[in-house]
Amino acid sequence: MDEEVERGIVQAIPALRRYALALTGNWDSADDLTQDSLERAMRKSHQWRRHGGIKAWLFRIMYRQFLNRRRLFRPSAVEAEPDELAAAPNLANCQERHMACDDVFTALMALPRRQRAAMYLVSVEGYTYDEAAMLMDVPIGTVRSRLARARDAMRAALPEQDRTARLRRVK
Amino acid sequence: MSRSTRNGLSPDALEASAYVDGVMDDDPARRAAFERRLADDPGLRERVAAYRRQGQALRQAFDLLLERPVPERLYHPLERGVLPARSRVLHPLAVAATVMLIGLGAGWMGASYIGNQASPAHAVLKDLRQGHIVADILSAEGRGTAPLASGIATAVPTARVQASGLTETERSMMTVGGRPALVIDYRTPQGQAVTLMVQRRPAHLADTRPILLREKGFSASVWTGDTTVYTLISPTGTGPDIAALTAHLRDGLSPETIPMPAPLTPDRPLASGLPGDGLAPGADAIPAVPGLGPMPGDVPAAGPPPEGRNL
Repeated sequence: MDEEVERGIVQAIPALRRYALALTGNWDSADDLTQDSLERAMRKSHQWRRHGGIKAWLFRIMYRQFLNRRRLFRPSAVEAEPDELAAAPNLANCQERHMACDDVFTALMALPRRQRAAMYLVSVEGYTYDEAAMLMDVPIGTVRSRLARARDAMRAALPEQDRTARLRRVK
Repeated sequence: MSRSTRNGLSPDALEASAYVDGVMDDDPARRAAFERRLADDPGLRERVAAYRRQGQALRQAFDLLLERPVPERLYHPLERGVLPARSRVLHPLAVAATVMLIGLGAGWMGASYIGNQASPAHAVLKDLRQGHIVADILSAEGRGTAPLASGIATAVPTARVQASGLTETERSMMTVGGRPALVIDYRTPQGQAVTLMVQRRPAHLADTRPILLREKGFSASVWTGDTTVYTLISPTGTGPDIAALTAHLRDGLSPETIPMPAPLTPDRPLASGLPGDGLAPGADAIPAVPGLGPMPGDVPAAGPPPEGRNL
């Protein structure tokens, strides 16, 4: 593997780890998933193609690893203990926003894992629908519907933001 | 007003989601039609606003996470090939952190630091707990000699170090990172603590001028000789200026590996079986001691210099 690829992988590790946290919901599992994904990437490095970027290639590997080994990487609020989940990301409150980061993280983790991945890839990483579809190996229409469902579910889980917004408008 | 649902999914949710994500930007007619609906439908406006707030909050929440230190183990899969640049930095940093922890034994660091530290110091804490003095070093006037591997030793010109104003307070052989290390504690004329560690140079550590490392609680500099790697470390705040001290010491401090001197030859064979490395004859030349293991792949190799701040 040439140095450019190695450098790209090293630079992508923090983002890869963050994606792993979004998928698994706790740092221990996130680090295990990241390590597994990196090991797989090293084994498959000969398959690397330059289109799409190294980070996207790693994200794709990670998502597959996550789905294939989901019993090892316990995700979601449904499966994790509430205390463990709440303490895991150690998020500070978002300032000057209508909701706390902890709340939005918890709402994200309550989503089904495929919706959660779509939401993360588009809303946090800024991938287009086409790119997200490639990363999750699904049709673009599936990305659209997963995103819409995810957003509606999060909206229902975070009603206080709407109340806050209404109060602010009354003022 | 919310329109009818399709498979439990509101068409408004699909449209609003596409609008928020900029999917309509390439289709002005569709976008204009949606914005006309938006102007007439408070519920739809509320939905779009909620979606936007979700995105902002998610980005803000996850942006915080990029600042977290990455555990060293996540770089290990890459070390099987050519080492990535970051690992070349973290290796000496881990060594430096280990020496910092050794400094706990010398009394210049508070034990409370252990509970607060992050990687890489945390990564080597476990290793240090397993570390222990493995052998006495040969003390001679003006020289400190210690075994670094089978058949070879390092000779530190301690007289030159002391000529620069440092007073030796303690020296020991330890295993650090699974390798033998000569560790010498000094005090400056002002009573500040500083620790010097000398180890056999790992095969993957490239030639480097001194690199200054600053971690919470301590500063360190790391540089290499032909066959050895040196780490100088001091506590932040109460220690001496590590950069100035390194510059002062570097020329005079040039210990290198040497054939094992006769007085260090043990009177019994080495049980743990350190491999000979071709630098000097005489495998099984040092006492077998717990924790003193072989150094796999220990072949000097050149490579690009590690990242870091050169002094």
